[in-house]
Amino acid sequence: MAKLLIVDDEIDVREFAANFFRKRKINVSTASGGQEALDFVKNNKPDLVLLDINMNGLDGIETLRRLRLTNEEVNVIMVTGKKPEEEGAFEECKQLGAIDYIHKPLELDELERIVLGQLFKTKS
Amino acid sequence: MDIRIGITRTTIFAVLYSLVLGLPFAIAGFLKKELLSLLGNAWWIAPLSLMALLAIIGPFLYIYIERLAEESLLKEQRRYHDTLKHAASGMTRIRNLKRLLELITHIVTKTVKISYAAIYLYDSDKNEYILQVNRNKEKRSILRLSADNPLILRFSNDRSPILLREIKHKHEQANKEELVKIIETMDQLCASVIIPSYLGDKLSAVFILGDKVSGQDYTQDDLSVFEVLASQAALAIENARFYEEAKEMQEQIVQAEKMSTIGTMADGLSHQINNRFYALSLIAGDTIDSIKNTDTTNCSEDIKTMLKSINYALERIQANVIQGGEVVRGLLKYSRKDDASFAPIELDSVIENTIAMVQYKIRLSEVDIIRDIPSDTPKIKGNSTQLQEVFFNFIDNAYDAIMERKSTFNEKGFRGKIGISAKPAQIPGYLEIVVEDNGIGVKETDIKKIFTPFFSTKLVSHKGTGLGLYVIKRIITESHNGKITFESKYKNGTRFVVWLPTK
Repeated sequence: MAKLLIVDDEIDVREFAANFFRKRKINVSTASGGQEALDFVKNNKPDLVLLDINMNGLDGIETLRRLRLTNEEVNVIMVTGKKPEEEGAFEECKQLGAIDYIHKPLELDELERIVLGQLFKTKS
Repeated sequence: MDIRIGITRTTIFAVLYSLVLGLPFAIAGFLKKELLSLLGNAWWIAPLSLMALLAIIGPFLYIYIERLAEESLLKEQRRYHDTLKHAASGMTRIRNLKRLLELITHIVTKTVKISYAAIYLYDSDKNEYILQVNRNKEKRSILRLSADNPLILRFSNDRSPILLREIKHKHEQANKEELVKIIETMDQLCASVIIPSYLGDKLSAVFILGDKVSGQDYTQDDLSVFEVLASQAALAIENARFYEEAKEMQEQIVQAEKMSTIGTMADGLSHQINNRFYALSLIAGDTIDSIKNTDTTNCSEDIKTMLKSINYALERIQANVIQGGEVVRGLLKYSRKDDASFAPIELDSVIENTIAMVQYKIRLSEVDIIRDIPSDTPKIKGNSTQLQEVFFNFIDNAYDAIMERKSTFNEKGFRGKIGISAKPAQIPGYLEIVVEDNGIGVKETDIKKIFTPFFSTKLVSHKGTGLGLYVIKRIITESHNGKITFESKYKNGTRFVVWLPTK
């Protein structure tokens, strides 16, 4: 079963997105912050991480950087609510090895397509 | 000099000197016998010395008695002259115009005891003198005086107050039409005296006084005190007006500050709002998904119907969320980051973004925005945020002008039009952009003020900060090294021409 980690400091996002993917037979775990995400990845090696950029405390980009430092070969999709023109952040995420970069608000159909597409790519 | 004073002085003098001269003679006449027995042949020394004595103290007595007499005579008058002078000096401290005028009329009416007083102030917009306050409102007088009125014209030649009594006297002597008109106007104003009030060369106010309650005439002294009052009043009125304008301007500054602060928060706010929309989208989406995947074959019809309506409601929520996201996206494109960068910019996309934003303020369906920007239009070297600000203001102002024309004149079949066009300028290296509208236009008196800060012809409720065109001019001329001109015809429309560099 595919393992997905959803990292977002908003409770509604975690709960409902998790519920949605669980119905599709995906093993979903959640983390409310960067540190929690890092701990989880160290112990559990998920197939895909949905990482929110703007979080209090350790933000998405810093978390991604630390993930890469520990040589974690985990697939990460960055999620942001900020201006689409933030070229700086996009470039940085790409350099740090993020697979994709999506903007909030995103409809579940779109999210489903991206996530499932990614998960089944890695599976095969 | 008051004739009463003249008579009094003469009387005192006569009485005193009849005593000074008469007393000695009386003594010489009636008491000759006693004096002869006392002094013998030198009897005449007594009356002579008495005369000398009286002659010496005479003038002092005269001065003393005369002063007493005058004081009592003029006590009444002195009293109110002092009050008025005192009031005159305190006037400049009052900052509320209405209160100032009421105070002036109150003081004058109470101290001088007159039946009626009123003040008319000059209004430069209407070129008229308009009644501001009046005591004794039972008297009905006219509300405005046009600047062409013969009475007002008389004040431009002659700065002295007008007394009805004197004018009537002049009229008896020489029947002039101008005098007739003045008398007529004074009647309409219920005036016995009119005192002009000048600020420099301009007649800024007229003070109307009715008859004195006592029925007495106004004396020359009265008039001089009133003139002092009037000139002080002119200053005080100017002061109060200035203060009120300054207060209004300060409020506009505060408002502009607030608007600017909100602009800088747009970034953070939009992000917060976006997060809410995302959460809503996920919640609704996931629940719709759950309903879709639920087997309802064993449910009652009621339950099935309810699930259907819940599903529909959630779909509506999602649709609204998407719309909300669009609004926020537009706002983000427009946010006030301190981005001072200059780059080649397509005019068309600036206008496009501006219209996307301005539709939240104005009803695009009420006006036709006609663009004529050919695809080969050269790019402008500029800052897109600032240029969006410029065109936002143009369109917003044009819209307001059109709405004002609509509501003021109610012309049948009138359709508001805003035209934006661009072409290479005659001067090489510049693009000439024209923004014109068929709104209410600008009055000739306002044309030269149009780029001054805080100037606005809009109604108070729609005023905004009034900084618009001032800021725009600076953006164009100082930031972009461009030029801006404008022409306007009242009731017809307005046309702005902007030149911006393309290199």
